[in-house]
Amino acid sequence: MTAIINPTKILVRAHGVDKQYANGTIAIEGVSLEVKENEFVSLVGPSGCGKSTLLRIIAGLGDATAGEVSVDGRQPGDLQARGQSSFVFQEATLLPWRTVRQNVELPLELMRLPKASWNSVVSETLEMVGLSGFINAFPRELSGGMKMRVSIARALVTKPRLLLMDEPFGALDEITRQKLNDDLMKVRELTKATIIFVTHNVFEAVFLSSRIVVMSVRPGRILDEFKLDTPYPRMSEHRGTAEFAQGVNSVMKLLAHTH
Amino acid sequence: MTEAKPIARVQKNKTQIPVWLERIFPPMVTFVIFITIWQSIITIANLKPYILPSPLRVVGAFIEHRESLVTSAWFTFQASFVAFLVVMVLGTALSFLLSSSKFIEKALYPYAVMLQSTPVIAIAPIIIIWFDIGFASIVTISVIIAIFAVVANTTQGLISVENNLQNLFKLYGASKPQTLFKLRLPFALPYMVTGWRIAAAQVVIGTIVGEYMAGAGGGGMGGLGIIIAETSARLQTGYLFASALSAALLGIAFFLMVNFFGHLLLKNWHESAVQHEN
Repeated sequence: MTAIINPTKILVRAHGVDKQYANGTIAIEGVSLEVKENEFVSLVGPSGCGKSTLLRIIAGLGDATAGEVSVDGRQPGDLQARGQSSFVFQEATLLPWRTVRQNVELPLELMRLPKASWNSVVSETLEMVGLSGFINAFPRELSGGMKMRVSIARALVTKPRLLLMDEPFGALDEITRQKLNDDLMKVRELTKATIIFVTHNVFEAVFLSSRIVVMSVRPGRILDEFKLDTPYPRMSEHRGTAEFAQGVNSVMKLLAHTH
Repeated sequence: MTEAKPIARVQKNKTQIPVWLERIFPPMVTFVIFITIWQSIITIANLKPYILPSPLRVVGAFIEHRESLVTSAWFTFQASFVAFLVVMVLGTALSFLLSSSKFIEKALYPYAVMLQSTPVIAIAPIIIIWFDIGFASIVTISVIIAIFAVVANTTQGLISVENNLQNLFKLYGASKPQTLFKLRLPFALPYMVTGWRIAAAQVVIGTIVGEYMAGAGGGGMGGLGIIIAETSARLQTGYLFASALSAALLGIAFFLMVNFFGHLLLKNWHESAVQHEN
């Protein structure tokens, strides 16, 4: 099921999206965003700028109050396309009564894919995220970083074209975060997935992204965009380059205007 | 993964006291002190045996009436067991109903609390009118006493399922049965086990109360509650003590049985059942 990547094709399209909660809070207003195939787009901005809200709307976990959103030409959350886009939550959200392997198998199980097809894809995915030695461990036996690896493996097991990540490394220490950033770059090379990534860590955003979208505080609007042309695959050493420092600087300046 | 290595093994050889003795010693001390005080009170105050029988008299009553005590305890166990099964099935079903919608919860919960708050002594006569003296009434009374613990805990578990776990299931288009069996039920399990534990103790109490009020048959053929009723009426205090003690032992045995079952269900993954070494 290796999809052919067409970097000019628009995979995610959001147009004039508003979201108002039942209590009257306007989370985002007039947000328009297009994400092409194989892009790595980070949504950055202060807390409460609606970046997670936008990501959830794209996932089909919440409806927009106004505007239009489509993923690969379909409505977000269209069950015909389930497994085509995956979501990684801020917490690992694992099932504690299942082993690592069983947690990763869950999407295949819920989608009722034939059991015979699970084995190779599950092993492959576990190996990709560096979990081969832990397949029979229970979540409580794992560190925060390892739990997040399981969560990412679970998202990848359906071979999604779109990976939506909602501050997945926010709760981890800096060293673990950098290691997981490095590994996410490898995963991206292998899967060719399009990634939309929510974070408020500028270093992380600059290291990972091909494009950074800066959002303002409530109501969340898109203020600016910043393109990063450094070719992939980006290795750990990239963090030491002048190019990286410049990127961080520019995005910091943009963020200073968000309040 | 690292916590599985027993690093402290070297130290174990220093102290020679076996673990079971270490566990049993403190309660033994309490027991000896308790028996001494008991016997002293009788000797000093010169109490009549029908007011307070001596420990030896209780043991004597135990031996003398062992057959009817065992038959009665067996009867009480059966009624408790049936009541426990009814509580599990009915209580769990009711919890699913309560947790299925906010409206149903709001509509039914006050009445569940009401039922729980009404003294059994007021309900028992009605139940006896409906079901007559005997097994059915006993079990019904026991169920009424114990069901609330299961309903309250199971409902709590079912409505506590983490929102993002539900979102995850939604994303992969999980069916209702899938969400029930693969998410809500296992998520609620630790809460359910807590409910079962409380109900296990209450169901034995409930059965004995039920037998006391709605038991049939004399001569020890109607459960421990009947023996308690009869011996207290005849001032056979030694026998009464022996039957109360039997009731306590039965309660403990029942609780341990349910506890063990709960432990088996949770032992791999839940914090409450996992052994920590630190």
